[in-house]
Amino acid sequence: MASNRSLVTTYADDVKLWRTGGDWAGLAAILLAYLIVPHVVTSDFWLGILNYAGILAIGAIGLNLLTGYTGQASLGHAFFLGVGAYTAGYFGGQYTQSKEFSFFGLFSVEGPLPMPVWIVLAAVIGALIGALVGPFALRLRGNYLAVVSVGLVFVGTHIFKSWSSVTGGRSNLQVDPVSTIGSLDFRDLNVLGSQYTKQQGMFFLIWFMVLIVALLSKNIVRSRPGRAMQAVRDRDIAAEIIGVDTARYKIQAFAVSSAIAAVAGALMMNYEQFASPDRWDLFLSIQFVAIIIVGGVGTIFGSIIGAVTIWATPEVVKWLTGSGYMPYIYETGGSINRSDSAMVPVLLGTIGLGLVAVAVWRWTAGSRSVAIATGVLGLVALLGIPFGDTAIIGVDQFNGILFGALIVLFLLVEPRGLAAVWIRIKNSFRMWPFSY
Amino acid sequence: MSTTLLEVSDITLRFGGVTAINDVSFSVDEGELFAIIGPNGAGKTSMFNCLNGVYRPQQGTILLNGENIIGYKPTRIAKLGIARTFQNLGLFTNLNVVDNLMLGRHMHMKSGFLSAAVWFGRTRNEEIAQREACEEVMRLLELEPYRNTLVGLLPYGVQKRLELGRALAMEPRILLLDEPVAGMNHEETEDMARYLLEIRGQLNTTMIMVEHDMPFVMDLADRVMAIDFGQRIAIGTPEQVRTDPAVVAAYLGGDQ
Repeated sequence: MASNRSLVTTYADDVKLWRTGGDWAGLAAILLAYLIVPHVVTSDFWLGILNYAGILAIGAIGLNLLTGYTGQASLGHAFFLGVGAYTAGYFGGQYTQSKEFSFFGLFSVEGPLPMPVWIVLAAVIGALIGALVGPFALRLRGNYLAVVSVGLVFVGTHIFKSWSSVTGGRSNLQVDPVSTIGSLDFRDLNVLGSQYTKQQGMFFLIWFMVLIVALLSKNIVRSRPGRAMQAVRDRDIAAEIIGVDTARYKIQAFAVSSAIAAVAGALMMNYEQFASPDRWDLFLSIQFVAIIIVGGVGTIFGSIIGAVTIWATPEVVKWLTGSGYMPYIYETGGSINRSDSAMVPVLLGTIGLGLVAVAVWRWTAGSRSVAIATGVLGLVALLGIPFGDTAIIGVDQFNGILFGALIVLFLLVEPRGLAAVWIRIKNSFRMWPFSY
Repeated sequence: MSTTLLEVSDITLRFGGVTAINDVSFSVDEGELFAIIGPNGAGKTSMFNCLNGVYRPQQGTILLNGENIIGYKPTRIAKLGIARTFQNLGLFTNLNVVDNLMLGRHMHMKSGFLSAAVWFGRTRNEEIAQREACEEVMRLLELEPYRNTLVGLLPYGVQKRLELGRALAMEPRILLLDEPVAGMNHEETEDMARYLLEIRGQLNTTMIMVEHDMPFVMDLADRVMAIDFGQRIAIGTPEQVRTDPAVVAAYLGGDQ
């Protein structure tokens, strides 16, 4: 059993988040990576990918609380990112003339408001709107709820287009939200004598928020409200009978999920400094659903690795294509130019031989159908080497196919997502050298 | 003389033209083990669903300690102290044993989203205190070996026991047991009987049980009510009910 290296002797020990030495090492590794990554990966391109993935990760945690833990499918998530973005733009944006905000006539503050304030405001407004919309979801579940929640995106886009005094309407909104805490300006970060670029500063800001949101969410799901949410998901009648008010938890989960989405939206506005009403569309919502499917439904950690996977994969493909490493794919709007590259045959050869090796291995292990499928794929890759510089598909179309293929692959092969794969790997190491 | 805890009078439940329960009355005393028997479709589970608020009967009153609970939502009835197990198990299969028991403690806890997110302080103290209460239930029902096992992976008999445990964790005044030994082998049935007697002995919980296993019912119950086609056909001690001609006719056929 796994417990022999982590004997629990008190209840206080049993409720700890970090219990074993391995857990603490994991935490240390995460914190170290947080500090080191922006120093090692200095290129704006790669940091930009990580930063955007971080924002998506926050939004995905929000969706996972609602869909993964409470079982309420939603395709309206993008709307709440929009709400957060415009909240940040409105309250935190820097304006040419000073702007005054009056709060219910009680007191008024001169804008733009500081960063912690507009982040909290985004969360509060997101939660309020989520709590207003939540009750409409009570009578629906599953596919019906998903379809109805699509409406939210369209209504939202319409509101964002019409309410131009806040959102800029059709002419879009271009702001420069305050991103300073005290003397720390994350756009132009200078700490302990080191000067950082905008992307580096944003990395520190965004991934700090990812860690905070992940920790708070983990705390929610491992205690009373989180258990109640999962009870609602698994068996709502049984939940009612043990005293869990299912309607209340559905609405609260909706509010919390929306609040987190709004924080992601606020950070997105701060990062892109630009928002158009069409930005918060159905595709963004679908992207979040894809993230939690690939990452792991009902896990916090999975939301983060799912976001990085879903966002980074197409970017990496684009980068590989631009560098001439991808067979058959041409850059959209560009021509194929890889006369100087020996990478394509090498890549195809490696993939082909690898697949053939897997096919042989599976054949000897007795799973014939898998062996035949991978074998055919491997042979196709090997036979394709001479034609590797023939462009047949644009990189954007390819990425579209890849996006769909990833979702289908995970739903078929590992419905519990990358998080489950990770746990399997971790357990096999924990048990080492005994396999069970 | 024991006091009446639950008094059901003239309950009638209809689904459209079908009358599932027709004018049934009975009362259960504090600390009593009361059994409801009857052939399939007699309305036993429907009666449970009325008692804990899932169905709302069209007529009659259900007095719990003198308070009419008809029309109350299931959560409110749970707070008043009626707990229940299901015929086909109502466990949360993606959670482990401890989490299922902790959900039984849900009403006895207070943490909301904000204090849970902060964790330190109220939520942590509450988790530790309630974890201890769950441990007591596990000790009583010998569930300790399965503490961190996902419920979906447990054998059926253990799941049945866990569901009883989750109901017990609510610290109910009345425990509704819907076929506690259905599908169990002889040994598991004897274990369940032992657990029920232990619960009675230690906690003096009032129990209402629906069960088809006649030897089990006749051995354990203080009083038995037989219903057929939604109507009460007999009520009394196990001995009286067993020999009642109407009950024999309901089970074996024949005219009354």
